[in-house]
Amino acid sequence: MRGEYDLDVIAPVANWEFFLAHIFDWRQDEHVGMIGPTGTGKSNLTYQIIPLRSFVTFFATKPRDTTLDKFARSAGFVKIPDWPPTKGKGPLKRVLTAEEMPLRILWPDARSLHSMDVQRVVFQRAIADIYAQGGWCVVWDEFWFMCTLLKLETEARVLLQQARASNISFIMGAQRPSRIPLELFDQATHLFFSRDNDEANLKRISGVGWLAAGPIRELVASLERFQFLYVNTRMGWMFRVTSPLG
Amino acid sequence: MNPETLALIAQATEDTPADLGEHETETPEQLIGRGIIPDGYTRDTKTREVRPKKARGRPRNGDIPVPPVPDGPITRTADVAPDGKARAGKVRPPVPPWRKGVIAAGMSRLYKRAGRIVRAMDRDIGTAIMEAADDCGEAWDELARTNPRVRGVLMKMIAGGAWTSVLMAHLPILLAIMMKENIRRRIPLANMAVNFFNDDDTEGQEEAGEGDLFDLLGSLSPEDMQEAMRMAMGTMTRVVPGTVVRGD
Repeated sequence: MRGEYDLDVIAPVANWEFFLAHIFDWRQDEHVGMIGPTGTGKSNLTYQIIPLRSFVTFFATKPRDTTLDKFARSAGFVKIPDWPPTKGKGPLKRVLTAEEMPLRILWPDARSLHSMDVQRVVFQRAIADIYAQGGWCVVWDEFWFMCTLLKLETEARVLLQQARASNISFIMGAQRPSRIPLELFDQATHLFFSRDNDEANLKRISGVGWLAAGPIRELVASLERFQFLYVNTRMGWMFRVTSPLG
Repeated sequence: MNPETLALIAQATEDTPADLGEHETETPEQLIGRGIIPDGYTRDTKTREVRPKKARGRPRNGDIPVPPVPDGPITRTADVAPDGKARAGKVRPPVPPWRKGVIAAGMSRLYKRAGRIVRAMDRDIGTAIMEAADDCGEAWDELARTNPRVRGVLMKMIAGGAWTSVLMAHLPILLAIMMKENIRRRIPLANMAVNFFNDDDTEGQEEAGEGDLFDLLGSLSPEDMQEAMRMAMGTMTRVVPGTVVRGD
């Protein structure tokens, strides 16, 4: 018991299987946010929850990512360099439907330092189609990079605020809780925070309107390695959970 | 979840929170009467009276909801599939408003340029095109005034671009073909042009490759194209009197 609250009561530790089966009620029209420094298991957590969705487009931004490659192979994702994915050549060429290719990693060539212009155009085309089609789960593992360097902040805000009605869910991963659209906190139904001892970050996290500052700071600062504080923003429930390594 | 944790949650949800104590049964008015500011109330900075908060504000540390013990496994429903046929439409910029003389001058310039190209092949027709340039420009200007889509296309043509240059370069070839009586009689050139724009299959257009040419002409409807063709035929009869182009 610390102060007026007991951390074990307000944020009990749940094992992963129990968490997925009984607690993490992630509907198709709900967004998921993950905040935590690099190396704390955000990507791994993403890979663990993605199988809950049937139609997923993962926006890949790095020049190389062996972990993502490995995940793509094991989870049946298809890597595509451009949008929309097509089949056939010449006059027989046609766009593949979501049912034909439900799991996609959109990975434009990022090997050049100046690839961002191409990445931006391809991603914008994909976002526009996804927004029109609905039903997709969109994954931005590098939310800050996408919003700031690729200048897709407007698209991110629109997806966060308007896309739920089209059954679009948005998974966002960010290393810091600052310099990203605040809608991540407002619009996400499910938030995961990993351990962070940076005073500025803790202040930012605990400053989110609907969270009680004291316990959040204490919980986030005291999480174990690879452990996440899960917050259901609609119900206010919190759990501590560690996802298994993929 | 650990059994100890479950027991803790169960205990916490059953017990009355200690910090509420006797306050739980009292109304806010009773609490205020005893000098306690209840949750959701504040002391007004101006009047110094206790009043309800305008916004509820962030929860107190003691208000953190205790997660319930889950009843059973979550029932997950199948995802709704994306609408595969829906594609993001291309957003076209608004057509600039009509301004007197702009299109007339621009089209006149284009006609004169075309006339110079044609003159290299046929001096008489080339000269006639150049002489009719101003009148043709005025005629196009009038059409652009009443039809914003035609205006948009003409503005793009006047502004120039790669496709305009390509079309200009092919003008002598096109003219040579169109001047052949046999071709004019057998091939309905006007209808071919109209039908080119009569395909509603946008997916087909995209697969054919959206480019500058579609940007230039894609906004025209078949009716616009017919109107533009009538205008073009009219200007052609001015250039070459007696010219008849089959439209059926």
